[in-house]
Amino acid sequence: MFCKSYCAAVIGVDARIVQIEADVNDGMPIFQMVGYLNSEVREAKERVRSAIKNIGWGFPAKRVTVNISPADFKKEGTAYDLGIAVALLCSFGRIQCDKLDQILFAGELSLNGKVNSINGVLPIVLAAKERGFKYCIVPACNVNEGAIVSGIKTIGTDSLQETVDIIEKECFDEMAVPNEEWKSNYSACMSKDFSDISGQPMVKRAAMLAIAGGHNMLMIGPPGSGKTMIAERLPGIMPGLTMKESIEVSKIYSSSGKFTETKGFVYERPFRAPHHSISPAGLIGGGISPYPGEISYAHRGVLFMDELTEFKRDTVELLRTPLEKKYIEHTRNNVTIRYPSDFVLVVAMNPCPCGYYPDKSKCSCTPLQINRYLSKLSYPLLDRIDIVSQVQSVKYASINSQDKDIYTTSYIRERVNAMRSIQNKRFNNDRITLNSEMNLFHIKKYCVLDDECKNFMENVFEKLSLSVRGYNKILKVARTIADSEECDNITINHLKEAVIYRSFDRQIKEVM
Amino acid sequence: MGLSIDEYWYWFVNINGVGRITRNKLLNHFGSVVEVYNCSETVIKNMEFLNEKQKNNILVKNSDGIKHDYLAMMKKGISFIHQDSVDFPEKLMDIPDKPHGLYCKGEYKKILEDNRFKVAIVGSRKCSAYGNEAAYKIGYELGARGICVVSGMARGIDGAAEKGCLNAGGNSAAVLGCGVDICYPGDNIDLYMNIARNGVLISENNPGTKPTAGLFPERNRLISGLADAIIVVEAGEKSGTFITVDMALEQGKEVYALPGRITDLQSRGCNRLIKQGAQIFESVTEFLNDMEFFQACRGMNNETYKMFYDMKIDEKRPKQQEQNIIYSILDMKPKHIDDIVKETGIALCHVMNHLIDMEINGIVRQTVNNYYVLNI
Repeated sequence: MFCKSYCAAVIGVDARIVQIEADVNDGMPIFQMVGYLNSEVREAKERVRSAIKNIGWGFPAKRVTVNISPADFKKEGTAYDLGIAVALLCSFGRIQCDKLDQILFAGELSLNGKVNSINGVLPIVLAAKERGFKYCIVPACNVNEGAIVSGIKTIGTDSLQETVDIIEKECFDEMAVPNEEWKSNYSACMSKDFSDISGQPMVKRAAMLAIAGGHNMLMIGPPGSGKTMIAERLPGIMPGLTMKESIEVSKIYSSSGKFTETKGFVYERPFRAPHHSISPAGLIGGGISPYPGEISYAHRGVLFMDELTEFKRDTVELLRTPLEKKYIEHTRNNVTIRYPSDFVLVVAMNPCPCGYYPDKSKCSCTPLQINRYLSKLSYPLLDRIDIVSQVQSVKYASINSQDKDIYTTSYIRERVNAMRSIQNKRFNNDRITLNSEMNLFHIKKYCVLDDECKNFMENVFEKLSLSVRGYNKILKVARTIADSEECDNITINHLKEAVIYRSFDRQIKEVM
Repeated sequence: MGLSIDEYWYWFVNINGVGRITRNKLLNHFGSVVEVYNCSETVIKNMEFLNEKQKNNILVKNSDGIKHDYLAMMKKGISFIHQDSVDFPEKLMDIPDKPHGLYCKGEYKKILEDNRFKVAIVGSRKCSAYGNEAAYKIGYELGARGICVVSGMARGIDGAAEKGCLNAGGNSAAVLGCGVDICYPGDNIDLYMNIARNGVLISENNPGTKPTAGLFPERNRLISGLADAIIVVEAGEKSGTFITVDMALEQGKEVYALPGRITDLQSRGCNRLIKQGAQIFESVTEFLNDMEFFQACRGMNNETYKMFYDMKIDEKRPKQQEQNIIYSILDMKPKHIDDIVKETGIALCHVMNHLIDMEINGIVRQTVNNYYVLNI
């Protein structure tokens, strides 16, 4: 008898619905599976046979064929086991159900009939909802991932037996997990506060502007000046994710099985700080069947690269296109997978090999050594950085200072939220959300300069020899600074401040 | 075919294994290089102060080879002057252990002329932003007045002073420790080319000589020897600059030093020199007044001269009140914006605005990103 059930194949961060057809006929007792299957899917044969036998039902000595269609793309992963088992039981005549075309099954079987966890439940449930399925039966340990999706009922199952019971009793609605209300939450990194950092008002302000406007930031400073401390506190000042963003991020973590780290659903903006020994594939993703890299795990959050000069040059260069395009595409022989990678890049480095320049009482580097050190940086990457801030070493006086620092995490976050809402309002019809994403058209529209500002910019370019490439960066940052003061127009003071954040250009130009 | 006097000298300074001291002895004994060249084998063989190798080398006289080498050198744009040339600087004749010959690249006749005033600017290779700035500025002002700056084209003070001089349109002389056809240090290649065009590169060593540590103290005596006065911009406690200073004192030249703060390691040497009696260098005008060398400036454009003569640092003081406060706490040591905020109590945004204004007006300068110094 012919029977079919539905499952979904996870490709990248999305899922594609597939149907599992099972046919039992007289003939040589063979169990075979077709449909362009990877070896782990072909191995499902043994798992399914044992599971069916071990829950007390025999496996008839007949010619059994299973086809997973569409058969023109490669099936990978272990999510098909449950669907195959259900389709088989149906075609054996062991269960009868006319609702199978409304249910999507996903789960890995173990030999004793238990259902194990799988990767990518969230994309699977989302795809099922889109295709109009009513129910989704997934492993019980992954059921939380599906709970957030409304409009479809997600049911968790521990074993094949339980699944069969649910189908036979048709108690789908009773068994479905209650929908989880989506609410943004801020529990992230609250133990680390910006006020822990003594002094350093400039870099704190720079950090606030960077996060608010989505500008990439470079911190230069001697060892022990607090670059890493500042970076660690960035998640605390980031605004909460919106539901749409949250789902985007969760899909990445779900499809790569990272949910053990985040418990169900991503509510907080990710903060990723890979070590400088990271490989190219680790950073941007890759592999035979491409998996996401750190840049995708940092999607909608912050990617922090400490000791930038220690990273391998070719690894760092890989960041160029994702920084522009906000996604990365991995193309393999039969598939192109796109992972989103829209993150704020924060990098830190020392000013010279010993780390203390320009404090000549500690630094013994010659100008030549410093030049050599700085020339390790990639100019194309620096060109994508809007805000550069020099962090200076902490003075003893400020360690014990009793002064109240206005830059606490809660204060900065409040400011950031306010600035983001101004930006949202402004870019309502422009398909972008942040100042850093503005293209030439947007800059012309939203960064209007009056005559005084134009004169100033002309002056700056002549006298301070800034690069023309930095011109638009200055305008974008000036836009963010103006937002911080809730000004509609960019004034000359905003431009001046933005120029200061860009002055690293000049130093680098002398080197290169 | 006979050799010219230049070629005799060229042969003389290039005898393998014969150094300056031995050459002096030979000259004392024979009276002139021509005599040395033409003396008989037996006379040489009987000289007690020569070893066997030196004797053999002196006796090898291949006039065609000498002519060929000399011509090849001239073709490379390198000139050779010696104690008997008309162009040989009189000043070098007065110093102890004067050089026998000099290789020059550039306009040596015009620059090495004796009644042209020359000032040596020296200092350590590892210098602070202050030293670098000061050397450049002094070099610039001297260059603008048509005064020749003599230095060693090293990293740090030397290079900065020569760059300043050349940028002001002046002429600079660089005395090298290696051959004049070698640029050392390599990253000064721009400066090297510039000096070859607008100044002169001088070396006592044969073209092609590689830079070795032992050659540099030797060239220092030429730097001080060529100059009428030397200015020490920055020197640590054990700087090689002191070799130049010692030579200068030996040669009876006036030594000036830039005073520094007692906390600056790079100025220790200068302060010690002042303690020992060196003149304090405060401004180029005062320096020139002091040296009574106004006549040296006669050749220059009156207007530029006046501009520099009248320039006073205090006139740069900004009118705006907050900028004035910022100005008053800045000095030559790079200061971070955060520190400026802390010391003045002015809000961060305002400090940044003022700094950019002041930078555009040339009052302050950014040494490294976000660190500011006064522009002198």
